[in-house]
Amino acid sequence: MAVPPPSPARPGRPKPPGLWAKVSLVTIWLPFPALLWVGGYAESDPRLLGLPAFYWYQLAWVVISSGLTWCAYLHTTRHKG
Amino acid sequence: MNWQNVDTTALAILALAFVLVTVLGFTAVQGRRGRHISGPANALDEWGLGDRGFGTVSAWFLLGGTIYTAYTFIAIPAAMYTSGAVGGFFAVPYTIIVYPLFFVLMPRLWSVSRRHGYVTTADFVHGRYRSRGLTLAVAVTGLLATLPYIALQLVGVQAVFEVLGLGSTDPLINDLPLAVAFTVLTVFTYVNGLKAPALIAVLKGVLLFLAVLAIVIIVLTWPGGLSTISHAAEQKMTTPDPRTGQPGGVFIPGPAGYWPYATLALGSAMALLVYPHTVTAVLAAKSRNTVRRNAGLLPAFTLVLGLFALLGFLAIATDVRPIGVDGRPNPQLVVPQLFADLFPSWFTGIAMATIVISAIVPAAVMSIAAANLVSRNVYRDLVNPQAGPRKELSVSKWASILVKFGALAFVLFLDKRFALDFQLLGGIWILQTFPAIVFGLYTRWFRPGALLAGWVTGMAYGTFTAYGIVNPGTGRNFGGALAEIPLLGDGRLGYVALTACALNIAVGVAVTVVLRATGRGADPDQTSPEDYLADVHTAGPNVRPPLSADLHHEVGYPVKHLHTPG
Repeated sequence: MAVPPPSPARPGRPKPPGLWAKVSLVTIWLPFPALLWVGGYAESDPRLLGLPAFYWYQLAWVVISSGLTWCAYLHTTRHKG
Repeated sequence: MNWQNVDTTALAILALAFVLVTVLGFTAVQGRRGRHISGPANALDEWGLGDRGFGTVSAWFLLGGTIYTAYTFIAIPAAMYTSGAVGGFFAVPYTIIVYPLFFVLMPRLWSVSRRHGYVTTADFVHGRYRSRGLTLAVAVTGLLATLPYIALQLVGVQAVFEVLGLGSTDPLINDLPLAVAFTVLTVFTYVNGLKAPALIAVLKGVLLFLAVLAIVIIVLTWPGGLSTISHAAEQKMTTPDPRTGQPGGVFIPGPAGYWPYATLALGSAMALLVYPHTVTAVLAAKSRNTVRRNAGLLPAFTLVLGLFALLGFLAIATDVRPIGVDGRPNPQLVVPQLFADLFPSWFTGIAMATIVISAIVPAAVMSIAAANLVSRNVYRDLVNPQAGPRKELSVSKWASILVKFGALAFVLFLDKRFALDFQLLGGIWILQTFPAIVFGLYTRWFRPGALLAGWVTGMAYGTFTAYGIVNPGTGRNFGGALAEIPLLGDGRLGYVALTACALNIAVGVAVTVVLRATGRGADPDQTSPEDYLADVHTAGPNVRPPLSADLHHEVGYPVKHLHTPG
């Protein structure tokens, strides 16, 4: 299988998007529906360590969103720099 | 002032931290410059953008230290303490959804700015649209929005001094520590530019994470843990306010709170991306990937902010009394007072230092960002088009002093509430530059005249609507950021800035369609599509080295950033 060598003329550019790159570029937008649809999580139960769902759900999304962005970075980057 | 009220241990630690900040601000920067070039800073890039040389970690500290201001760490818990979730906790979704946007937009802005030597958003707008009117609108909006933001950082510092017992009813003594702290900040920013706050930002980051560790330990060891704390908050928020008969606040938003909550988060996130201080910190990154990586790393600060926000509830549970020297309750004092109540003196000192340093970093970056707008987009574009890099630099440096003392005068001589009103307006105003800047990163379809018309509409609508919001408790204008969204017809409330921006975009599209249909005007554009993807190593006719090349050649220094491809 012919794998094209990385083009030295264009370092740091996004890869031609593969499947995972495409998926990851869609999933970075998940925090928008998850957090802007407030009715979906404005609840007190279930509580976590006594904290109502409304609060811990949003704090959890900090970590999820960061992870999704990081995935998108890894899947769309060829070179470090 | 009564010395018996002064916590001397805490004050001594705070003073020590301030000496450390001063030393960092003045000295360590020399080492960095030594590697590059001898002699004083010569170009605006070096003073105003730290030579565009910050790597992933230093850019992370700088961006985090700039975006998450002291005012945030004081005002968000204060809002949680007084009115609950809608006024305060929206900052968490806001600082989450900003990063996907950051990830796709900021690398484009970084690339095109790097390629053409843009230092400000107004520089980019000028290059993209070649319109003097639109450039000036973006620059002036940036300045107007930044000034009250700097002033509010000072309000944060004042709150710390007041709780430590340095407050006084004599205004001269009351304001002296603030004036001293600010003068030092002003001088090292003048001398070292962005590199000074960048180094102090490392200290800020470390202290913030330390403070949060202490908060987590306190909350986890609290009798009854988070249950008692959130129960106390729930009780306070649902108990009716005797003045209005309405519940005191919002513990968990009901359906009426959904739209305010979501629009505050979305509007604030969009605004943050076009605030001059954010852009200054982004453009200081050394490569495109540095910017992209930071979109994934900066949420760590959001976690810190979220835990700080919960301090507002902890303050309710501990029954903190945020009473100022004037004997009146002041919600700005909630966090410093809570620290003073909960922590032993030595850690109170560290926590207070954290707040003060949290104010110094963004205040410095904001003043640099504002100064660059003055020198590049007001002075050079309007007053003296022949100004060279040296002249630009000196104008910028002096403007940074002017801006900071303007903010200081704001806090010392005007009513503090005026700064708060002005800051509310600043958020509304800055979002009106979003269409010109962000749409401009993707398309040149919009006509500058149309964007300007949209900007005027958004500014006018936002300002008048905000004026018309009356606080039910105090009867004052500029009583909040929420107003009825017109056209929906069901009385739903939304963030004024976002409504104004929607109107702004609608006008921009409509006028562009008309102008294009009538076939008038050309589309001059300094940029080309590949500029928006360029990296450090991408060569092109417009590549500008971080310092002006002739200076490097004078000292025989190789211009390492000018690689040829292949």
